[in-house]
Amino acid sequence: MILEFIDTILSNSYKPIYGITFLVSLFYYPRYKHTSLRYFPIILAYTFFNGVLAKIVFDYQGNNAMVYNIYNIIFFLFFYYVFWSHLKRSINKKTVLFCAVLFLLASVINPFYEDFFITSQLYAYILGAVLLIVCIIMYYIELLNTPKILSIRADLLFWISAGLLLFYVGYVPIKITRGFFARLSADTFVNLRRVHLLLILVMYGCFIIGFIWTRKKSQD
Amino acid sequence: MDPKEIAGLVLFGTPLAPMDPKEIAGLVSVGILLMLVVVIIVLFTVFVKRKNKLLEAQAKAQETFERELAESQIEIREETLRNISWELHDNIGQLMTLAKIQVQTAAEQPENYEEASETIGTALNELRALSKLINPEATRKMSLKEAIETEITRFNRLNFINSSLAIEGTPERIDPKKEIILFRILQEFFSNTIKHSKASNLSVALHYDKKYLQILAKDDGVGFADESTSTGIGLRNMKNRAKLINAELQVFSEKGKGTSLHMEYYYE
Repeated sequence: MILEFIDTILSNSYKPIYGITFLVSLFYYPRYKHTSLRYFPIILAYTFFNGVLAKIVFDYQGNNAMVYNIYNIIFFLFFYYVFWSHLKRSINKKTVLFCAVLFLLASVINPFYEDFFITSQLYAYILGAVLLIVCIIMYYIELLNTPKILSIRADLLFWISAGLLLFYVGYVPIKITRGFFARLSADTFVNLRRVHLLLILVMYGCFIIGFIWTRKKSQD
Repeated sequence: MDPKEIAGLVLFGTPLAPMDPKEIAGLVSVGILLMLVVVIIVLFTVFVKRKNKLLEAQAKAQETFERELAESQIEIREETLRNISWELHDNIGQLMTLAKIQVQTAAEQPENYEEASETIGTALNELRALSKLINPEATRKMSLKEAIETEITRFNRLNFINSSLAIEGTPERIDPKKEIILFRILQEFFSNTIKHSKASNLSVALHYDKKYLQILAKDDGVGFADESTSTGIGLRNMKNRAKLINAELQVFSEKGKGTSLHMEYYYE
């Protein structure tokens, strides 16, 4: 009973939250339009329409893995770019660049092992997520060493990173479990789906908080 | 077995015994939630700790700043008193002595009355100027530029040194507390120039840029070679103060080639 209720909430809230986050990001756009996050609303809109597209392709072809495979590549590369332009220390910048190259390489090699058109690119995805977590940790370490830490509440990238970090720390194990144990019977993994949806809500919740609390600051 | 341990085994793809996929999923879910909680707690603790540390450091820096500020104010006040004493003795005192002599000799040469009256008039003017200068109300409202101008004018008036001031750009408003520190640094440089350098010329330039104020002061005195003397201590003091307000200070000197001070202060 309670689980059903939770399921109803979870499975009905994650799609609207994409749209809400997108609208909120547009509303507060002037506050961060001078930072590298200015392209973020495009990614949010893309996320939203990607869901719609995935549904259409699925109805038409019965498989929409390709739609998500393309999406993931763009999504990860965007965030590597954001962290690359935001990090100050040159060694960190180089590391991000290295991460991006590594991820691209994995994305190129992965299709030889898993069909790009019908299978989710598991290896590239896991590598991309782990490298993104590395970038976030580097960003946090830099943040900890500047006076900016006193106003992280109003720092948009802090919240976006927090959302991404929480999501990927949780989602990578799900992806691995799904990938290695039940490629075809995803419906046995109801619990995992619940956690997955919860993670999405947490991530987008962090994004929305970030947009609302961010304050305009000078270009850094 | 600990759910995390099982999740860990699952992650590495070597389950010990065949497990129901549903069970695995449940355990992984619990593991993930636990992991999330741990990540949140760790993030929170690290950030809060660091924040407190930084706040503490800031409070300490503020305290040091206030102390230095108070000290600078006292020193400026002492310098002002010294200046008044000099001015009374060297300038107004001299004029009054001259007037006295003129009056004394006026019995034989009546035209000296006229001269004595003029001398007393000059002395009065000097007295007025001095009184205006040391009025606390006026000095408090003075900007850095005005304070330096007053100082330069005084040097020229008393013939201490031939000095000039050049100003470029439009003066920006600077935090009065920081202005006090900046002024005190310059004043210390001036007083070193006058007391020790035997210089005959002093030039000061203020350059108000969009982002920073650049101050250049230069004398043509004897200069100094090593910083271990009393000049060195004064120099260290000036540098410490500059550091407190995030200004960059450099003093260049060479024996026989004068001394120059370069200071850059970025507006906040």
